[in-house]
Amino acid sequence: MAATDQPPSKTLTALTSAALALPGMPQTGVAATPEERDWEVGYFYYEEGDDRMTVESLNQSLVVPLGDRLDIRLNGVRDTISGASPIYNVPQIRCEDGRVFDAPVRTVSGASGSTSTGGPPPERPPLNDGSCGISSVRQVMLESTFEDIRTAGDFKLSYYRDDTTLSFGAGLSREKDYDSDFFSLDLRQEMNQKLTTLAVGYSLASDTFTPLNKTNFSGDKETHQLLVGVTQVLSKNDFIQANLTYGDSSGYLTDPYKNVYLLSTNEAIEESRPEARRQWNLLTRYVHYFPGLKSALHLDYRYSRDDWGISAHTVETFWIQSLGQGWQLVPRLRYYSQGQADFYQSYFEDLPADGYYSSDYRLAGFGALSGALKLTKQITDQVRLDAGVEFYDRQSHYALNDHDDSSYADYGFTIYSLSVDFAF
Amino acid sequence: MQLHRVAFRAMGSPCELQLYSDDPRRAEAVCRRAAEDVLRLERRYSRYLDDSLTAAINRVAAQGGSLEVDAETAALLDYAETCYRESDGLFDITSGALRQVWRFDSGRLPKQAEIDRLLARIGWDKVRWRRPRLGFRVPGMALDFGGIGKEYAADRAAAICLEAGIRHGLINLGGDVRVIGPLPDGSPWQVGMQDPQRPDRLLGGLLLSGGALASSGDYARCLEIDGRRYGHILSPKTGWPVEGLAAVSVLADACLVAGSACTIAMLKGREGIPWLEGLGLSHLWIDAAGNRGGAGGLAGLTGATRAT
Repeated sequence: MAATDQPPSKTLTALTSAALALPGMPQTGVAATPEERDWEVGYFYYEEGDDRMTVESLNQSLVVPLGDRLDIRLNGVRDTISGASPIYNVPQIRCEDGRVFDAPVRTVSGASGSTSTGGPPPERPPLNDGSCGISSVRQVMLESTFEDIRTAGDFKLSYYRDDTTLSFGAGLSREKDYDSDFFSLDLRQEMNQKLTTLAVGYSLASDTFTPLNKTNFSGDKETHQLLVGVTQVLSKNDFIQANLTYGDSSGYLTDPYKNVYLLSTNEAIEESRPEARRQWNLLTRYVHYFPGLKSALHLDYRYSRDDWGISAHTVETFWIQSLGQGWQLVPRLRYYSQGQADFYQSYFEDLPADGYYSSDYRLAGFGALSGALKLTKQITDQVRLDAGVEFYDRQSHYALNDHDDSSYADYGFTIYSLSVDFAF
Repeated sequence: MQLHRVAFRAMGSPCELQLYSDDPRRAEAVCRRAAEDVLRLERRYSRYLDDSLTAAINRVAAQGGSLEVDAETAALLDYAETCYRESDGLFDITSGALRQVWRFDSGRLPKQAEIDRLLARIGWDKVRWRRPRLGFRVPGMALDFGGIGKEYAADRAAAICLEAGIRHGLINLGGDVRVIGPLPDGSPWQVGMQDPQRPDRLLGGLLLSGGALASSGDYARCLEIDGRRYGHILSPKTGWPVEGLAAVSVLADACLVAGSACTIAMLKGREGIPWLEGLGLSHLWIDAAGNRGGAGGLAGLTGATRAT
């Protein structure tokens, strides 16, 4: 709007920035109003190290305003998953005379649906005479490559009135062996001149697992989740957020494709988990906008714990840097550390008396570092392109908490993503 | 696209909203929301309404007390403070008390003694402003948001329209105009500029596809005694109407900025002309002798006056 090409005067800059600090000025505080029409189509490719597993995903998200007070969001996703996954861990036995026993296991029930029983019990040296001992642990992968397709869709209807937004959502997800139906209710209330936002939410998911390796069996699982959150604007360049989530799952929580190895009988048997899990999750977030640099810093810390004995910390930071001419770069770093579940061991001597045991590497103690980079280009007012890459490195020794070594399960993955967003 | 237009009175002025939308119900609802917000700000900041926030602040100011204010008021006070600083103390929201003696409908001039008595209670430097606490060092002070309230209301109305997806619209609150995008066919809005010396005529039409236009001048309200015009823009330093410029118009992104630039230029008198040049915004000025000047698109209106 400047009449001349001269740089804006100090006075004009002072007046303009003071004007923009007022609530409700176009560049500041957003009223609770329906979203603009928007369609985003994305593709991502996930690849674990050692060609273990790949996931290809196509997703779309469409937002349509319905009049003045309503909008609807429709999401759809189709994932194609293929590869191998670890099922249990066997100890490797080394003897002083140089012999190595990598015990074959007598019985394995596989996710392919077949149950195979090996031949005679394998030979194994006695472990208690001092000359032979367990030296390391090795993962046994499900050898048959599996492939699954997941199709999921959901909608969310939001109603906006003054400073209040009420949303109702529902959806479903379908796989060969896993069905999930869910719904959610959310309420957001802006108050205190939109400087404070309170959010409460509830969701219910009802899942049915029909494992392919079991006949005439299905397990049901129900998950209730409650969320309470508050966002507080501190100044025109800062806000903080805190969300507390409580989740209560009950039913069939076991992964029937995961086994544990029993040293006493040299067998792999299906794992067994408790029938209930209560999880608490706290997210705290600080966001600072640097007007001079046209950039924003996000700092997140998450703490979670559950009654399976797993507690976890996540620290994440990302930087949104505007590069001008519609380009934007977002580097992101994340550190995650979790302790192990009470009933986790990499393998078991004998079955624990309480009847719960798992060697699933996801319940082990470990840490993970990940880094990501996203590049965005606003091509026109209507079209935006995003391209991203993310690297993930899981290492047993990255964990903060005390835990059994699980370095045999260390792995990494890479995700490449591409998406197009149309505002129309 | 259909045009939805509402006219109403607020802040002592005729107001008009013109919004285009595919959905007439939507345009109507947005119009209603924007107009409600203008009226909300009037109820909140009018110094004429006993139950307004300004009246409540001024009751405290009269005692020389202090109070805590909400975030919106705090931001307005910050803005007013910025204006005070950038105008070297000429733009002063405590100068409203002068209206107690300058009655533009009275036909008489105030006595110097009356003015001097008021000047002792005027000055932003007599206000202690530490967000969120506002204190008055001298009893008998008063604040007046009149110089920024209407422009802020126009910007907020525009923000409400933008957030509701309106991309073609015009907001006119008593001559403070905020344009939201061009007309639906892409052509600019034509905004008529009143001739400050002959209010029944237009200086010309201005083509706007965005931004805000505000004007200030003594044609709006003035006192004429013995052929001499006394404008309604009063200097907080002398207590008398400022002289030098008869009218100023400024184009800016925000109506608030355009409006305070006009007021500051008027307060500066002829000094306002180089100050406007330095600001770098498109503007137009007319001095008491009828000379005109300006820069940018508005300068194009310095030529002949056209009949309506």
